[in-house]
Amino acid sequence: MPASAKAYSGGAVARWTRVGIRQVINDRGSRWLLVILLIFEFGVLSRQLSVDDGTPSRVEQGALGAMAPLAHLVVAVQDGVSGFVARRRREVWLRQENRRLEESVSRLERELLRRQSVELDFQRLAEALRYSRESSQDLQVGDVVFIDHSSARRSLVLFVGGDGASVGQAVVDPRGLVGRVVVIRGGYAKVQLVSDTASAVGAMIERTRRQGVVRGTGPNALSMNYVPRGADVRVGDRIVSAGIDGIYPRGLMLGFVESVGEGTDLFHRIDVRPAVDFGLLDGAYLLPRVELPSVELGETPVSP
Amino acid sequence: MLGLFLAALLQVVVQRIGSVFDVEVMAGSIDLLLVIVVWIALSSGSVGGQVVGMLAGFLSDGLMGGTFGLYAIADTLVGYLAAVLRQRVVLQRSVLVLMFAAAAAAQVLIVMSLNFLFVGGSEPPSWIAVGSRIVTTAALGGALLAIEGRTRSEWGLWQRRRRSRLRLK
Repeated sequence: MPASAKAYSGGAVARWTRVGIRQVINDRGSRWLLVILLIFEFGVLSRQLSVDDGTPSRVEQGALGAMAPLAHLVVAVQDGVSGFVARRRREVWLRQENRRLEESVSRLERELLRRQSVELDFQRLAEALRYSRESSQDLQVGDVVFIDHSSARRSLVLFVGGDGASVGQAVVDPRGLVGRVVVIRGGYAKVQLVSDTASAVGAMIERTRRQGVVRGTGPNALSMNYVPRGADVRVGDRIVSAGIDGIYPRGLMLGFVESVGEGTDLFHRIDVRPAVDFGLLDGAYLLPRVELPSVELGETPVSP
Repeated sequence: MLGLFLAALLQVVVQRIGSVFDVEVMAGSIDLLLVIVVWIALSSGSVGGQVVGMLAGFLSDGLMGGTFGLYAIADTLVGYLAAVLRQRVVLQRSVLVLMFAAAAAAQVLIVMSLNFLFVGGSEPPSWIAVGSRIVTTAALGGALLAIEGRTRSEWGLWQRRRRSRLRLK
């Protein structure tokens, strides 16, 4: 017999042997296996039913040991996923809440600014009302639209609207005298400040009634001239308008004596700090002009 | 064994979903372990069917929390019977889906009988639960068979192409 035929026959025998064993296992052995498995399973079942103390069998413990890690894994994955989803939802919610709060803060800031502006207007109007009551005069309100701080000619521009104004009207602030109207154009009035170097106001020391002339000497600085050296002047004395110049009524606050020095041979050199801070002005009031009675030279006024 | 492990894992997932969303019907009507037992019994024979049936049954017993051993006996018998029936009768693949439905029904019947014999007085499952279990098992078995058939055909096609390439070289 050739070698190839021997190998062929040997391979066939082995193959038939394997098939035969498998057949035996499938046909007969499987029945025996079924019987053995069922006996085992019934044993497990009957042992569980006969034991009253609830002690689990080894098989039950093994099944639990196999399933518990799986259940634990599933629960861990579920917790991880649900935690991630919850964090993601919370993040989205926080973003939306943050956006809503930002919008709310922005809206409230705008509202706050508006209310602050309203409050300032209210304060200004309240001061005007108080000043109007105190002065018992009809005041005309004007908004400051421009202040010239740079040139020596100190002035500001008031918007007085359609009420109109007249040249020479005194302009005041609740704190004191501001200046006088020098030019009118439309609803605007140009005001010469008392700190202007060309301005001169008839004034007096309130405490002693000593009169003089207050002039502007520079930015926020005044001086009182023509006060005799013999006059009693003290630092801190209040300087008010004297009402002798035909423009400004008497009693308007001008400022305070800041220093008293030796001037010329005849007069003091008095530095005056203005009562009004012209840099803080946002509104002012125009006093009605009171025309002086016209008296011709040489004529003696007749008392009424 | 890998299929058994995956089936057990998925079964735990199904039970978990059913308990989280409070869907008892869902948890009771899906038995992936039984699907795996029938599939292995149909493809590998009665020995495989019995052994895998016993293991899957014990896993089901551990998972269900009832009397331990009922599902082991039921799944062992189902695995054996499915394999024997497959050997005796020549069935088309499409008809094999009915084997899964019959296996689910047999499992329910065996568990009920064992319950009646050994435990006694237990409440039988509702017809809706039994019906949904049979239908779901048949559907999952059909899907598994379809995937298996598709995979085998793709694998055969790939192997034929590979052989033809080797011959050309």
